[in-house]
Amino acid sequence: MHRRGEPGLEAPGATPDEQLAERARDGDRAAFEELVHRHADRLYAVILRFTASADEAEEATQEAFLRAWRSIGGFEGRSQFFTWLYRIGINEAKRRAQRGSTEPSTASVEQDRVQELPDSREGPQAHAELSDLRGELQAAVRALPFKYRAPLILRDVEGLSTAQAAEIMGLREAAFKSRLHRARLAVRRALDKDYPA
Amino acid sequence: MPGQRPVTVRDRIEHRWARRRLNDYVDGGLTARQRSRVERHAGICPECGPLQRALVELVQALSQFGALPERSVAPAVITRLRGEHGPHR
Repeated sequence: MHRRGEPGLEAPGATPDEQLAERARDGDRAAFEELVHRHADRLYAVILRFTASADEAEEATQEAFLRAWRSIGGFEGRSQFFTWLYRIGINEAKRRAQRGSTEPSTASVEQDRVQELPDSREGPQAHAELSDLRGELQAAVRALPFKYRAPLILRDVEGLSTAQAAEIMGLREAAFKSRLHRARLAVRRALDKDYPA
Repeated sequence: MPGQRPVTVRDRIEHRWARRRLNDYVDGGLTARQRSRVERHAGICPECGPLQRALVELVQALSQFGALPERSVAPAVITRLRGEHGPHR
C-alpha cells in the first residue's frame, strides 16, 4: 500500500469531477471511467476497513461504482462528486457488514463515562509505544461497530473534513462529532486494556 | 480539576468548557484564543491534560493508516462497468 493524496482535489488543469459527472449523466462512459480512475483506489481503501477480505473490498468497490453509474442521473451537483460516491460506497460496505455475523455491538462504545478515564501514558515514550501498537490499533478500530467506525475512518484515517465526512454519513455535524468522539474514546480505551499504563 | 489547590467555581466552569472542546481542539476547529484556553486548562487539569494528549496521539497514529493498494482496482471496475447499460435518467 502507498500513501494517498488529498481527496476531492483534481490535478491542476484537470477537468473537475463535477463536470465529468455531468457528462456521465448524459451517457458519456469515458467521463465516468475517468472518475473511476480518480476515485476507485481511495474508495477501495475505505471499504477495505469494513470488509473481511481484500477480495470482498474489491467486489464492494465494483458494486459501488456500478450503483453510481446506474444512478448518476440523481447526482445533481449540490455536493462534491466524491462525497456522493463515498456515500454509495459506505452504504455498500454497511450492507455487507450487516450481512456478516461479526458486526460488533454498539453497547461497548455507548456505555457510561468510564471510557473517558484519562490515559497516564505521556510524552515521547507514549509516541514510541503507540507506533509499536499499530496492529492493536487496527484491531481496536475493526472492533468498533459500523456507526462509530465509519466516522473514525473518514475523518481520522482518510483525512476528510468534518463537513465532508458528516455529509457522507448523512449526519448533521454535531451528531457526527459526537460519534467521532465516542469512537476515539473507545479505541483509546481498548488500547489501554491491552497495554495498561 | 486542578488537584493541588482548592477547586474553585471558576475551575469547574473552565473544566466543563475545555472538556466540551477537546475534540474540536484535536481537529483544529478552535480559534487561537480558544486553543490557548484549552491548553491553559489542560496544563493544570489531571483529567483533561492526559485526555488531550492521548487524543492528539491517537489521531496522529490513525492518520498514518491511510494507504492505497499497490495494484489499482480501477481496471477491474471498468471491466465490470463495460458490461453495463447506460445510466438511468
